[in-house]
Parts: sequence; C-alpha cells; structure tokens
Amino acid sequence: MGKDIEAPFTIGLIVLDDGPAISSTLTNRTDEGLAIGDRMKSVLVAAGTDQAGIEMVELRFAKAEAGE
Amino acid sequence: MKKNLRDMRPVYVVGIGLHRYQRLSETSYVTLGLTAVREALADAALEWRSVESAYTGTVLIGMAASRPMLRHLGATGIPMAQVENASASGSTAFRQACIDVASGLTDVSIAVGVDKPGPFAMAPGKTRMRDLVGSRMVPFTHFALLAQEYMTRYGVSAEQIGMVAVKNHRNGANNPYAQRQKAKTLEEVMAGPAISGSLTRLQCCPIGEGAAAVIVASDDAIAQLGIDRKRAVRVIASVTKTEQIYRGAKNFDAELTRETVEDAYREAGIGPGDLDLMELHDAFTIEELLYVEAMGLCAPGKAAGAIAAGEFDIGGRCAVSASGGLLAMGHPIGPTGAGQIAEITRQLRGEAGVRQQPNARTGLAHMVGVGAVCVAHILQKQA
Repeated sequence: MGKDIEAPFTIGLIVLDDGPAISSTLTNRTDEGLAIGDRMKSVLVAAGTDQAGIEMVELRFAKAEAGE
Repeated sequence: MKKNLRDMRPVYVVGIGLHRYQRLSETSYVTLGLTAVREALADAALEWRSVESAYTGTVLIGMAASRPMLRHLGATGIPMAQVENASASGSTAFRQACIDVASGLTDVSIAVGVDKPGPFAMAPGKTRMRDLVGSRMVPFTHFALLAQEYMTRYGVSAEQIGMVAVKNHRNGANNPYAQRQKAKTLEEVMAGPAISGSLTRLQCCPIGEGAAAVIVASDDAIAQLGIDRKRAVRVIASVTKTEQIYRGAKNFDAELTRETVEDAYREAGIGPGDLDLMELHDAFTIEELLYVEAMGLCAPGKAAGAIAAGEFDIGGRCAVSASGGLLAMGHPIGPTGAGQIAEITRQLRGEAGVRQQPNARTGLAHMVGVGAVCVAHILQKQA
C-alpha cells in the first residue's frame, strides 16, 4: 500500500463510538473543510482489482452529514 | 508464584560503554560494538572471561551478529543471542541480561546494542492483511497527528512543543557520544525544513549508527571479582508490556507507557515524585510531552508549561533526556535503549560532568518499539 493513492491525501485518528481510536485514510482533505472533532462515517472505496481480476474495496472514513 | 525482578537476586549495573552515535560511515558494526564493550569492561575493571552471557540488541545488521563481533574478545563459549524488538531492542537485551543475573543463571552478563542504518524489513507489512492506512502513514506522520491533536485539545502552540527540541539539543551539546552536538535556538528548530504537520527536522530524531554496552552483575560477582561497589547502580524495576485495546479515545502510545511505567513504579516501590532523571523515547518532540504526562510527572496538558518553567532541565525537579535524548543523542535503533541505561548509570554515579543532574539518586529509562511494545527500567544509587 502507499503507491495506490494520489497525494495529497489525509490520514485521521478516528475515535469509534465503542471507544478505541484507529488510524484511517479519509476521503476528505483538511483543506476541504474537514476539522478535528467532525463526526465521521465509514465508507467503502474502490481499490482496483486483485491478480484474479476481482474488484477490491477499501474501508475509509468520510465526514458525516448532519443526522448521519 | 509469579515474580518480578525485584523478588529475585539484586542486579547491579557495573560497567557502561558507548561508541558515539553518528551518521552512517565505513566503520564496521564489529568495530562499533567492540568499542562499546571494551569501554564497558574497562569501566567495570573486568576481563571478558568473567562475562557469562551476552545479548545483542540489533535490528538492521542481520542474522547472527553477536559472535563475529564478540569472538575478538575471546571465544569463551558463553551463550549469546540477538534481540530484536524494534526501537526497544537494546532495552530488551538489557532486560534479558538482568534476568540472567537475577535468576542466578549467571553472575555477570552483558547487553550490547549495535546497529548501522539500512533497509527496514517490517513484518507487519508481510501479514497479507491490509490495514486502513498501511505505508501511507510513516512514523513522523503518526506523531504529527498526535501533535495536532495535543495542540487542539490543550491550546498549546507548535513553538511550545518545539521547546522540547531546544532543551534536548542543549543537553546533547554537552554529550560527547551524541550524534547532534550543537545547541539550537527555538527559531532554528521551527525554521524547518518541515517534515510533517508542525514537526520540523530538528523535532525528529536522527537515525545513525553507534553502539552501547552495559554489564550487569550480582552481589556475589561484585565481591568475588573486586568490582567497585560504590559505583554499582541497582536495577530496581524491569517491566515490559505490549499494546492492548484502549477505550475512552486514548492514544495507545501514551496509554501503553502509562500502564508499563505504573507497573515499574509498583515494582520499585516509588512514585513519579521520586525520579531525579529520566531518559525517554523522544523520537519526536510531541512524545516527550505525552510520555511525561502519562508517567505522572505532570497533569495532562501541563507538560509544555513545565518545560518552559525549566522543571525538566538539568537542575530541575526531574532532568528529562539529560543525554540529549533520541532527538540529539540520536536513535541508532539497537543501541538506543542500552545507551539510556549507560546515561542513567553515569548520572547516578555522579560522573556526568557538565550535564550532571545534582543529587541524582533514582532514574527511569523508557523505550517504545513501533508503538506496540514498551520497556521501562528504574535504576537507583545505593546508599
């Protein structure tokens, strides 16, 4: 991993509702209105195909809209 | 019944030695390591044949590093092993040497740390299980995120965090074994180049080459081999733990340190107020703030103020990274933890010269390894 994403990208520390904090790639960037404390949601993002041609997805986090 | 180091035979540090930490050179790891070992033997006034086991903390040299190095001192047939525990390799080698002596397996053991920069081969990348970040986040990015979170939570400025580098470079300037031996102003620290987030180059540790060696011995050995008991420093706690799942939105780096050092305090029968000095894993400036708070030296969010007030300076209530720490003394990986023990021993003996912490009696060494392991040792000068 690491060469499969175009820079710049944003890494965030996500505090899960159940308590633990994890690091994740975000779909939003800090220069696009993302701020510390924003509520986030998990999303699946297309991540190419494997050697057998099967499409892969990757879990990232995105800014949640109000009410999500 | 489960025992800790304090429940077994007393263990003393009786010899320390170092090869200066420095940029990658043509010097072989054998020369680096032997320089440190010979200095430690001379310091203890011991011959190599008195050493009964050897542990070499190393990450980057390669397989079976000990014997090609140590055979030059004599092929005495003693057990030797390499210890790889990421940045905590030297600390873990030291712990293994202490366990040998404390348990009675040996009377004299040595921990050596030696490394030269080279390609890293990280096993977590070979699990074939992708995590959510992977190599998109290198260590300095992780700590830049923690710095940003700390500044936001406590209203601390980037310059206040940068003061850690000013203090530690000031200490490193007085350490002949340090890789960085020049004091730096806050303006120089903050001037960059920027590495990640608010972290600048001088807020990130240099990774070079070097070596450190520590000889530990039992009471019997001290008596029988004529070792100077007045210069022997007792190891009163040795604790290592690995990361768990931490709830309550706590970052694992600080939480792992908190629980490891709490166990070490308990084993030693002391509290944070008893510490006169500490060498900690300040690979990045923000780590010093997080760890001194996690170790109970000050309340959460108060470390920057304590540094500004000089509380962690040499001469302050607890000298933190009197050696210069990883930021200035350097972080050659394998030697770093053993080098911390050497610095604390030198301080507790009162032999640290211009960087001597006055009246130092008790010191703590702390290392983490790739965030997932933590090792803490507490040393104490005997009355």
